[in-house]
Amino acid sequence: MFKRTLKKITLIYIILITLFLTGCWDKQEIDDRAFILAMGIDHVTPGHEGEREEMEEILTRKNHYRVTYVFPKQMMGVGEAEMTNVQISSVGENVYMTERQLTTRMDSELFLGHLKSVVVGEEVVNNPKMFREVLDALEKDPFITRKISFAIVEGEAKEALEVEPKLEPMTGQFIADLFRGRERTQRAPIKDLNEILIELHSNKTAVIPRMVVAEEELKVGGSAIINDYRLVGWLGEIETIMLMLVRGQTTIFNVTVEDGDVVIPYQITEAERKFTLVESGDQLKMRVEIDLEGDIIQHYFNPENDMLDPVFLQQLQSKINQKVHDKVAYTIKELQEKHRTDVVGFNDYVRKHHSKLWKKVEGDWADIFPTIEVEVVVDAKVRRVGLSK
Amino acid sequence: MGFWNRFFGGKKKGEDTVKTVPHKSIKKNLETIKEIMTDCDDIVYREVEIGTQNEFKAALIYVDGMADKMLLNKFVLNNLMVSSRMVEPNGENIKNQLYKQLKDHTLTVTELSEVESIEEAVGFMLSGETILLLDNYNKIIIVASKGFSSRSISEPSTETVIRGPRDGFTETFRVNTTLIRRRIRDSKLKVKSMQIGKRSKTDVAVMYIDDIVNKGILKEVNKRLKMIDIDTILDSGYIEQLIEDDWTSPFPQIQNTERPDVTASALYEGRVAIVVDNSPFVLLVPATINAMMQSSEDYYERWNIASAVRLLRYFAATISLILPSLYVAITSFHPQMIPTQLALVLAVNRKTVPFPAIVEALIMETTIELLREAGVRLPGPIGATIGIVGGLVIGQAAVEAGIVAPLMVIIVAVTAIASFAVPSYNVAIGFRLLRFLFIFAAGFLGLYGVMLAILLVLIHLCSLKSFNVPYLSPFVNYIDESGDLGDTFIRVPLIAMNNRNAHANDKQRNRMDDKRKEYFGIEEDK
Repeated sequence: MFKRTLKKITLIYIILITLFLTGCWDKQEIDDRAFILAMGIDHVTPGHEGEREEMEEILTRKNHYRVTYVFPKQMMGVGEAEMTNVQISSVGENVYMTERQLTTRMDSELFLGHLKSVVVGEEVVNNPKMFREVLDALEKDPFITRKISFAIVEGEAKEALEVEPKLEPMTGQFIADLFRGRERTQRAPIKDLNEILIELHSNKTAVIPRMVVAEEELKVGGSAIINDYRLVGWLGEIETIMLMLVRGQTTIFNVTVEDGDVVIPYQITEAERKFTLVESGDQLKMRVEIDLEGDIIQHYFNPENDMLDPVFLQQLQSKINQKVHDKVAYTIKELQEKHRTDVVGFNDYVRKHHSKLWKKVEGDWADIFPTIEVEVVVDAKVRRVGLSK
Repeated sequence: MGFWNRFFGGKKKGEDTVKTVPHKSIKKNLETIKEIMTDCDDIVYREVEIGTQNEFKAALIYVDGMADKMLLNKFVLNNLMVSSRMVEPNGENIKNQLYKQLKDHTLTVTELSEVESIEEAVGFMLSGETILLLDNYNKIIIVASKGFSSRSISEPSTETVIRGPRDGFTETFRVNTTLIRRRIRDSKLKVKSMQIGKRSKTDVAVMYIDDIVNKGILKEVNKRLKMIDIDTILDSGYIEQLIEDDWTSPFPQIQNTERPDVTASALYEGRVAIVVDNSPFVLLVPATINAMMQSSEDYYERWNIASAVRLLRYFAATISLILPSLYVAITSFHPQMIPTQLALVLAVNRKTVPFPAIVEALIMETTIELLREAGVRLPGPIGATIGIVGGLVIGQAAVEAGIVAPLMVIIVAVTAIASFAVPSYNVAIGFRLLRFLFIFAAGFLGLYGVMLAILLVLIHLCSLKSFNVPYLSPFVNYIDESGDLGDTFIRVPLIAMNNRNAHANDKQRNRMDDKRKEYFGIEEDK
């Protein structure tokens, strides 16, 4: 019995030894890591004005990526330690090389496991090859979650990250929080990296939130339209809401209608949209039906027209219908004629519901999409009018 | 093997005991006994002469302090020396019938027996009985006169319950079997006594309910008890270690309890109880890990509360096993697994800590083990003080000195509390030991190491057996109708516990018939 046990112990010992000697020693204490919260990726050209050192590198090695990393740094103090935000950027031949170069200039290891948001400069998206490289770098890294926020900056990403938000000193967290707040305003598409990647994989097109940089503030509103991995144009905030409505991705937003000289806000709480293919001959015609439900948030004190009056409500509803119809029709027209990009979701609809037709038109959908006749039907209902008297 | 023997001692065969047949002459017998008990000054020899003409010699021998002197005075000596003289002996050959006379007509004690060897008689004497030697008689009479002082029945301190009986076992063998017998008024409850220990001759009783017990298990228990060849049994722990299946395992394969109600319940389930003299702990076999996670109160309290508590207990056991290792693995290898805010705070807190997380965890775990061990040794009131000093002051001071992170203190405290939520102390200390293995695994290999350690423990648990009953059997016995699973993570209502455990005798599986329908007249469907 003792002999058998000794043998067992020896065996376990040998297994443990091999594990400890060959096991992965990627141990890194939590305080030796720099938690990158935000990353900004820019395209730089040799003519770019920058720091001297940077310039030299750009010129000698044709590095055209500049990646800015933002991470909180713990400053040791007596009792409580403090966090400060640090931005540090590096240039390289690709995203990974910038990271490698940065490690030579930093005391702690870059850690992407807590990355919250990635912002990409406009220039990168103008260059399809670069944009695809960036997307692949983000997709391949096992540490980067696909739930991070992704936005395109009008201008340079570095500028956006250098803004010190007044409300929250940690830029990465702030950007992530901004995105979370989108559900309330809906002025930018609610999308994380995962959805964007899926959309790009299937259609090569995408709607990506736009980030606008002001002096001391950052704002997420509007969207960038991507076609064939290239930025083809921007969409304004209202148009973005309408686009999301047509895509069936938004349920809460606001519209104002005018009743005489009073502007009445109407808050949509429930939205449903339906596509129907009306004609399937040479000329495709799509009908977009939108059903809305919502509340009247505000009127004026002791109004002449009572909200509970059915005739008045009917009037209001038809006004809302008209307004939403106009905006949606305008947005779709804009996408068809200006951007020539089907981010509305017609292609998905035709593929799923009219697969025979889809096989015929699949090849030249890019040419067919701008010619589709679109009929928008809006049916808004006022469900709650609030308290009065 | 030579190496092993030098360290731990080899095994040598002991000599067999000799048996001396008593002599006819009382003098010779007395001499023999006196020779055996040389230098034993606590032995009392009382030689008397009985009969009208004082023609018969007799002697009482007992151990001072172990025998009931009142009983000997009143019902043995008084009867022999005083009362017997009042009656004229009838018959000529009284000389030859003296023993019968004494036994049937004179001695007014409840229990008398005869032995045929001096060694046996001495054995009885040393356990508190009294030897009665008679002249011209070659057998020895044993008068049952055990009467030593013992601790009274009190509430067990290790298995306290809020609701349930308050009596606990004592160190006295007979009191313990009585406590069990009181709960099982069944002729099928068997108490098989034996003496184990070549020198200590400790009384050991195997108790079981004859028709419920699994005969295979009972046979195995008896076989293993017979195989014990040791000089002394000081506590039931000796027996436990000598008959358990796997002595290398950190998990106990035999349950022990201080509570008679737990023992009775185990007997009703078809398990075997081993009662050991001088030990308030009764052993219960076979034991599964599930039995160790049960408290008797689970069955006295209503089922839904009991089930919730059970789940909590399993959760606590898991925590006490892996929580510190998770901390080590996550801070050293996988900081992406915790929320960003927490990761940042942790990084700040750990900034001042000069050690890697594994050293930090080991320091704190060792400290808490030290406190626990010292707390056991310290007398009551000081123990509480040390608890506060250790828990609060050292924890706080260690954080302020920057040796450990505040989260580590919380984790160690939670782990310590969780390990005490496990009802069986012996399982809890097993977990405590394994916790260090887990910390090392986490420190070297991260979560991968923790998973490996969990697998290692699980494989071990799966292969473990207690008296041929698999250690994890209640979790897999859902195939037959025993319903063992209903008494594991949750405790099903009593009305649903119709069957005994799977290891009970197959013919006696059913515990109750549900007659509530007949009594309460539950409405039939219309």
